[in-house]
Amino acid sequence: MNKKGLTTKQWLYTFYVVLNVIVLVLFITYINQLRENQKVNQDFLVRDLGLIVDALHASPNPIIFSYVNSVSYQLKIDRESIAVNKPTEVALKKYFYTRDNNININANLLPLTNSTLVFDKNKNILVSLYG
Amino acid sequence: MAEAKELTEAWIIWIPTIIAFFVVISLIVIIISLAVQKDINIEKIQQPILRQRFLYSENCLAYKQDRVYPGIIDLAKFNEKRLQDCFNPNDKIGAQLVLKTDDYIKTANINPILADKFNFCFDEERFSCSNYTYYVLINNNSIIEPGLLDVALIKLK
Repeated sequence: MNKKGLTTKQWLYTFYVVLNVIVLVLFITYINQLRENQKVNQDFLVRDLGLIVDALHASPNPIIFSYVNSVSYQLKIDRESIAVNKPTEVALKKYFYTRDNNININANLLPLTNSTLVFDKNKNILVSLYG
Repeated sequence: MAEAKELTEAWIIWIPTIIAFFVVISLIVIIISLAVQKDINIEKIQQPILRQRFLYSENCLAYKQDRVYPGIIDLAKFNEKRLQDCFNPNDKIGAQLVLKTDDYIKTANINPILADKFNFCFDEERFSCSNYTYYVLINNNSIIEPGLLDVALIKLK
């Protein structure tokens, strides 16, 4: 019996099993992500909010718009764009809206968790959370 | 020497197995990705929203006296500097506005680098374009006259 050969084979089998486990975990994570449709939800949310901001820019009169949200994300609005991500994620989904240099947008990093987002457009646009 | 040979033989047997394993996994991922791929296309709603800003916003072209009159254009506001201010897109969007009456035609380009590229609109994979003509009233020094406002938008995909 060649014990050294057996050891080499054992190592290769172990390596193969570990490889399988890693790929299986990655695969399950991927399927889970697809099941929750995270990317699609994020993509939809950021575009929907971006279009609202674009539409508010066109409003000739003061307007208050409430956006009821039921998913948990972190929302960041600055002078150029709206970004949405999970608090644990680094990558942001962004929408670059068309700015009006006469209108300022006042908002910061907002946690969105079963809350209503209120867009208050008067001379400027104020974004805040309600609830 | 024999040990090294045995190790090499074992690897030679395993390498195709590992390659086949990755190929199968990649194929499964690709097939699933293709099946669940969802494309959210907002061009058809985004461009009308952006276009209407020119008519509705007092910062753009809408005439204002006590209140804003959407659809009535203040001729004094029709200049590129003002339009660039009220419609300041990222580098991917350009616009061309043409105001026509019986007496004159005025043109304004926003983001000229893209506004010059309307000839490339046939390339639907790279550009998304739209063009809409609005029947408007024009306030020209308190004289109201009818006119047409062509708003053409081009967006780099």
